[in-house]
Amino acid sequence: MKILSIDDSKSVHAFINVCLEGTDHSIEHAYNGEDGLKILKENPRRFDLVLLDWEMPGLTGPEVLVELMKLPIKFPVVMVTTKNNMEDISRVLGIGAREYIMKPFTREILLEKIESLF
Amino acid sequence: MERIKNPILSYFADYIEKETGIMYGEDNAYQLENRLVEVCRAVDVPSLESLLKLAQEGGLHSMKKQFILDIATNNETSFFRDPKIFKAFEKHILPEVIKLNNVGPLRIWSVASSFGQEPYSLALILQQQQELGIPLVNAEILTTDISHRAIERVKMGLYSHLEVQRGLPANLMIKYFDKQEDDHWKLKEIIKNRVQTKHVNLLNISGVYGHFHVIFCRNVLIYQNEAKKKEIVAKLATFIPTGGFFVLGAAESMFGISDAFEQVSYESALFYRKK
Repeated sequence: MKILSIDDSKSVHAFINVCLEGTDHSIEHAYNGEDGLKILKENPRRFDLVLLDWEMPGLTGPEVLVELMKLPIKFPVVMVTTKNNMEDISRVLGIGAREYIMKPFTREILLEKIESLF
Repeated sequence: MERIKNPILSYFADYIEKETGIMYGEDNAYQLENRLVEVCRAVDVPSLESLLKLAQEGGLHSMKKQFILDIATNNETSFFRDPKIFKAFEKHILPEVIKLNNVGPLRIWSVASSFGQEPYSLALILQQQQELGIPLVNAEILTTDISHRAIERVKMGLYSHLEVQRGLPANLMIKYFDKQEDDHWKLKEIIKNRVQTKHVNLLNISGVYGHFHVIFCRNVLIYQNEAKKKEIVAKLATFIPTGGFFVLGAAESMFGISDAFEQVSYESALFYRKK
């Protein structure tokens, strides 16, 4: 699986890298919503799945998600965030996120959520 | 159990034992170390030394403390564990046993409840089926365990931040669980009420009556010797009517254990149908 992680935290990217070590998944990183959106708009077929943070400087995760839902090519988006209240989770699932991971998370949780989508 | 020599691991082992009763010694210190390293990565603390310093100085906020306890006690149980079994159960086994069962309620037995993830996964499937119009109002799920602590956990229906994320799709989490103030998630009564609990020792089953159309006995027999496996399966088989199903874990087989069943496969998930 080719995965794009959009998150402003370097430590989250590093942790995701560790989680995916030894798996067949490949990962690329974007450090803000604008960059992530640009990469995906330029070549929406390049990735099979997007991991998307909520709170980022500039475009927020939900704002990026709304834009991604307008793309002609659909790929699953998994929100990965510290926000963990029912309303926030419902909101982004309603916009079109396929899954939701609450930080902090473990390697098993990340891999299970990814695998559950394919 | 020999006490852990490494002072950092020993500090956390003491903390975990005090809070949960779960003991780490020199034998499984490596496991604790691996899990604490995972905690450090997940909560962005650079090293075990830093985690210890934070803990000793009271700098670990409650969520990180809970995370340490959750990860240290993580028992590898998850909702919908081995998803293909649950998909096949929903798509093939349920319709078969509904047809089979024309008198009385549909009954399912999850013989080792652990903390409830398996019986509640089944309850979630039944609930969704009922919401789709399949008449399963009277379906009963019994779950049993040898551990009183496990049964108490099932009754509570309360899962930590980590437990609720293992195997449970987010849409089911927000529909059938309520978030508590302490970051735990509580199963709604509509699901909890579908599951009955009972303390049962499989080597001496008592207090369980009637028949069960499906018995889930996954990863239970692996702890038993061959003779005990045969004895338990023979006893459990008496509860299953002809055409009902027995479910083993992915790495288990009925070969040489019982000839009361025929093996059937649905979308690569194995089940054993009572002859």
